[in-house]
Amino acid sequence: MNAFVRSIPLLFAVAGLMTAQESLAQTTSVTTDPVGYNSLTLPAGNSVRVNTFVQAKVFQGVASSITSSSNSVITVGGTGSSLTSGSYNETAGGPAYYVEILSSGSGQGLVADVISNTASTVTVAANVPALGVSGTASFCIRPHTTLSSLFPATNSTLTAYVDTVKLFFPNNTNRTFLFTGTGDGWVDSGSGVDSGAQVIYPGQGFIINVQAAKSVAVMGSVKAGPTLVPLYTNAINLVGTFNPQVGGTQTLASYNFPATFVPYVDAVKIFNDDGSLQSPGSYLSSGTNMINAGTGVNSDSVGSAPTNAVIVSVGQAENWLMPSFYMSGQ
Amino acid sequence: MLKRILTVLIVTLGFASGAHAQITVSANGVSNLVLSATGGVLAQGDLVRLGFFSIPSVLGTDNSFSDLNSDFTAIGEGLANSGTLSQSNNSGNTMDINNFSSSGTFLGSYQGVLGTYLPTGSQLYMWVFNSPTASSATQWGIFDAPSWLFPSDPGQVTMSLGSANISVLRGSTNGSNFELAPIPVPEPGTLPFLAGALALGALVWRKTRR
Repeated sequence: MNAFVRSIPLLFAVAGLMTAQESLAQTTSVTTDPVGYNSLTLPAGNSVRVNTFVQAKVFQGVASSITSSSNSVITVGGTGSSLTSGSYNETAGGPAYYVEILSSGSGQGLVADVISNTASTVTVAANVPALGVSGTASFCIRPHTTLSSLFPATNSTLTAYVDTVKLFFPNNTNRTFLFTGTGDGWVDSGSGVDSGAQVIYPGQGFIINVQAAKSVAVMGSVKAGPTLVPLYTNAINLVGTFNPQVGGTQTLASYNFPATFVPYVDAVKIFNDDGSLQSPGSYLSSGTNMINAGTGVNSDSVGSAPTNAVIVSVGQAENWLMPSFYMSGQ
Repeated sequence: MLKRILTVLIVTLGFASGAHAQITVSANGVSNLVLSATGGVLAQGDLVRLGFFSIPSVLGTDNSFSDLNSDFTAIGEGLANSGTLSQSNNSGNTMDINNFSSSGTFLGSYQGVLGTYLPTGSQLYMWVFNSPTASSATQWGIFDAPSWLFPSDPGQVTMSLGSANISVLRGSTNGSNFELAPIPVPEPGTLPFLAGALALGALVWRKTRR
């Protein structure tokens, strides 16, 4: 019995592990994901972590056409597949929802922020066909995970005005957010601006700093299917997987980096899990395997907990194809 | 409000003091090589230096090792806070050609470079020699690339000869590989001439004074 199967009883299978069809207020059927529960075990100090879950789908459908433009317009096909106009519009604080491409192909797993929607169209912040998606692709819409959806103000484990989360951005900047335990739950640690709506993108990792060792519960939907995670040059790409496994380890080979990495150029750095942010090593792709960037020793079997994030550096912008860690249903 | 400000300050300081993070600087020439000025592979042990030049405008013309070295802040090489070398077939503290996968290739990394060792975003350079010691080298090459920037803590950078858009500041390209440039030194035959000219100048000066 493999580790994942062993862990299944620990998944909080509210919706069941078998996919099901349910009808939402909108007339489109949505294939539900199983709901998962996990615990982030945090030593005192700094830890690199990733949210291993996504938010539940709020819409799923098939496109009848997708325009090729910097902001593609996806027209929803199918009888009865209507949306509530404006319900997924971005807000003053930024995007609140994203489209995820479900159809197989090079664009499967693509994530694009929703800018706005009408009853029959969704406009997204990406040229979707340019990324290998057909005009009749199936897709879903999910709410973005935010600081307050992942760690709500009611979280009784985090310490208000002490514990922080640090996020890194594509322009090589970063911001640290302070847990408040009230209101939005989070503020920018510098400006004090409410930041509970701060988006944490699919696959985006973070550094969480806690004063004392603790375990923080997180829950969400278990994601099936691969995910495309953008990697940026000259930036700290802190990324992790949607592996819902509770406990256990995964290895560098689990990330499938050689399928994306430019051999001997792109690299990944892992961290000790003791709160120190010390790194035991960096690793390159040889084209087929991960190797130690110093010694060149094959490092496919180097372990890293599923909830841990890693830093990836790339010589050119590219999309990491994160493999699926849950294979049933989409 | 005061409590909030104090708390934020404490947290910020705590984050800074608790974060013993480190930067990793890796380098390799595996898929693409750096060759000698005549196109031969470099010997195992030949020197590969990584670091920052404060005056990059002279890198293509200055033939003085001491001049360039004085403008160079090396990564590793036993300098404080500049990282520890990890490289197979090399027990020293400076990266070299280690014949990682075949003759003339190299691969290694410096772990534990302090995040404040260089300003974030500083351009990093690869300075390669045809000798295990810089002072005895007769050829060198200097290269950089847009992605070879000193990262912010706790990031990493990979200085690969397979990186995109590598600039050859000293040396040349040879297909997909790179070559060192010969460094001119005063030829031995010119030294007696220079000594004679100095002696003649001194004689003329003495006669003029009388």
